[in-house]
Amino acid sequence: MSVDEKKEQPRESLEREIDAVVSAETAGLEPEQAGEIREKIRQRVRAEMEREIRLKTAADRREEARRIREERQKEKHAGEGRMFQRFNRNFRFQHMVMFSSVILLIVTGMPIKFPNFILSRFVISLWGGINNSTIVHRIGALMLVYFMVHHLLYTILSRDGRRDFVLLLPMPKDLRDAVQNIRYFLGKVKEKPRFGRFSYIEKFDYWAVYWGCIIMIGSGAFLWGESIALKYFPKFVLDIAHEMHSDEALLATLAIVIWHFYNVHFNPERFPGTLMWWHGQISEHEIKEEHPLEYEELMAKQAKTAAEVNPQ
Amino acid sequence: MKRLLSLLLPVALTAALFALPGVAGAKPPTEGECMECHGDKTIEKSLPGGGTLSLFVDEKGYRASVHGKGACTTCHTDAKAPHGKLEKVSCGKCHPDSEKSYAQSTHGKGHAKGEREAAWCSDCHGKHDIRKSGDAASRTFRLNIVGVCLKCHKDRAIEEQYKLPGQQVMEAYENSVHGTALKKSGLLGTAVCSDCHGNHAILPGDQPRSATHRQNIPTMCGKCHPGILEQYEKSVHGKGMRGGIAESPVCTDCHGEHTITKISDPSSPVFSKNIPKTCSGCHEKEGISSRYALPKKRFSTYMDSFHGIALEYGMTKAANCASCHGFHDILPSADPESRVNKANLPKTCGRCHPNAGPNFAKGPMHVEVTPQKAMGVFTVRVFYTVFISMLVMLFVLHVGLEHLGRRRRRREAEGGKG
Repeated sequence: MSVDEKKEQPRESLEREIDAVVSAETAGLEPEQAGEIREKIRQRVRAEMEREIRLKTAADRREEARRIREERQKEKHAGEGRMFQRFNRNFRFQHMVMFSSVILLIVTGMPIKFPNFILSRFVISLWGGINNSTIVHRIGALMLVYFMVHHLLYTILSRDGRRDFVLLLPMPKDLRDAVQNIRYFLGKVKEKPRFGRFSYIEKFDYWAVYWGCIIMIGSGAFLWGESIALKYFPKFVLDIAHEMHSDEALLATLAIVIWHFYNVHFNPERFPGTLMWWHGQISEHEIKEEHPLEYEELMAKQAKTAAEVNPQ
Repeated sequence: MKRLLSLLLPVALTAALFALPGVAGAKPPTEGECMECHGDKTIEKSLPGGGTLSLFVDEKGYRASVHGKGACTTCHTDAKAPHGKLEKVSCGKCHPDSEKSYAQSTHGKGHAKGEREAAWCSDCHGKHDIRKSGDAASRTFRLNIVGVCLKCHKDRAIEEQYKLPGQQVMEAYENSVHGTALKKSGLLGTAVCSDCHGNHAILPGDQPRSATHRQNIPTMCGKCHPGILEQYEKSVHGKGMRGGIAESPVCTDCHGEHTITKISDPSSPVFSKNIPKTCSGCHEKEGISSRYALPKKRFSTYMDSFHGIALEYGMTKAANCASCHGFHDILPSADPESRVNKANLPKTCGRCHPNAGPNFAKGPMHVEVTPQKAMGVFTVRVFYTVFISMLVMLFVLHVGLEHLGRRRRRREAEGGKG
């Protein structure tokens, strides 16, 4: 009560002030007209002040904006249900750093693997020649190294990171899911495999990045610091690093283009792509469809908390 | 009577001289007498073809010439006053050596055969106004020689008639490092036509005695580039050439002939980016590499390396053949003096890769990916080839099956509805 009173005080004085100004300005008008104008102004001021009181901090404002967006979203896709936060901001940032670096690396690296490809010369010339594109490649490499370090720290230090890491570990269930999924594709079974937070497809993606980063950063470091590397290793080791760097790059590119792009963006349910990498949210409909086990877990948890708050 | 005779005789003889030209024992005319007619600018003779030939002799020009102190009749021995057609002047009377070497040259032989266009002394040296070659006004002064040669050698009709090299060859010289040094910078030290081809004894390059014959080229170029000749003579190419191996490259095989440009010029065959192509012109030839037991696949292995690819994309600081093997001083890797001898590799590689140590020499430089030559790289390549093809097949299979399943289910759903 006392809090509300405090809020009311400045509001009343402000209203009085406005009333005085309006009376002075509308003195020459008919009393009915003046009353109408006064009422309009009063309503507008009240709405604005209420909003001001509600949105005290920047965080509140963001929350408000999100709420409005969500409402609009809900209106647009009525069948999707409410939205769940699937990837947190940190995780999305890591993903963005990684994909920008990987795009830079592929664009500047592939022309070196395939110098006779018809577009290679053009792609190199986009950067203003080979001297620049090799610098861009190194910038991409630094971004990837940063991503790797960031992700390792995230895995160790963040609660979400630790949880996701455990959930990403390959399990016997993944093999069963894969077999069932294929049988489902073939029409041998009616039931789709029920995935948890991460399906075997996503786990493959995740561990492919691990494997790729280790090979690419490792061999790339040899090639970048060739003079230092050759202090400790004979030249044929560098030749092997060169070959690995080039072959693994091709593998990674193919995995991204065929596997990741298809499963995440180009498959008919998502075509022409999803913005989950940007907002990190998944709809109720989608989470039920793709990650039923996770959905059930979430629902169970919510029910439990609700029961704790209102024990009845 | 005797006295009368002695008085009359000179008079009679003088009269006879004027009255009967061509009488034996007649006195040769003096310069003044010659110039009485030939000093007239309008004096000319009509030619059978219809044109006219000026017979005017510029006395001033003649007096300033190297022969200016002599007399007309020294060269025109059969001249009298007045006279008809004179015999052709023979320079060899006083210049026997020049005449001898000229007679053996391609011009001399042509001239002897009666080819009218074949250059004769006067075509290059001029007639009455011949000056010493050191004189800047001379036709044969170094800066003027190219113009003198091109008078005929840029003439399309002559080129076609005698099957001479085309215009583009002459133009190439003008744009070459020698030509621009001459034309733009006016350098006397630059090579003009006669420096390479000789002067009186010019012969086509396919004749062994020609200065431009393959076996004479290093010596010829070495006249002006002696330091390089010295390096070349010690190189495997130089030794081969001197040993009579005709396939061993001489200067022009790498640098070009009339087209020689600076190595910084992108059109030069020895511009860094063009070097691999120039070297592989011989070294990728199956015949040459097997005849001289040279290692094979040098070019393809280089082009597969980062050096080769980067150079191809225009990174001129990337190592080309010459960066490691040297150029004028190329030696086989077995030679301890060679830049690519195992013992010297750290130093050679160290020119670009600072602190290069002995590890640079451990492993092949031109990596041929075979189990014998590079087991490690070969294993990695085979592993990845298998791995990538398997994974891609799995990906495609998974994606394809998913699609088929989706289509089947849609059909079933539609069928169910209907």
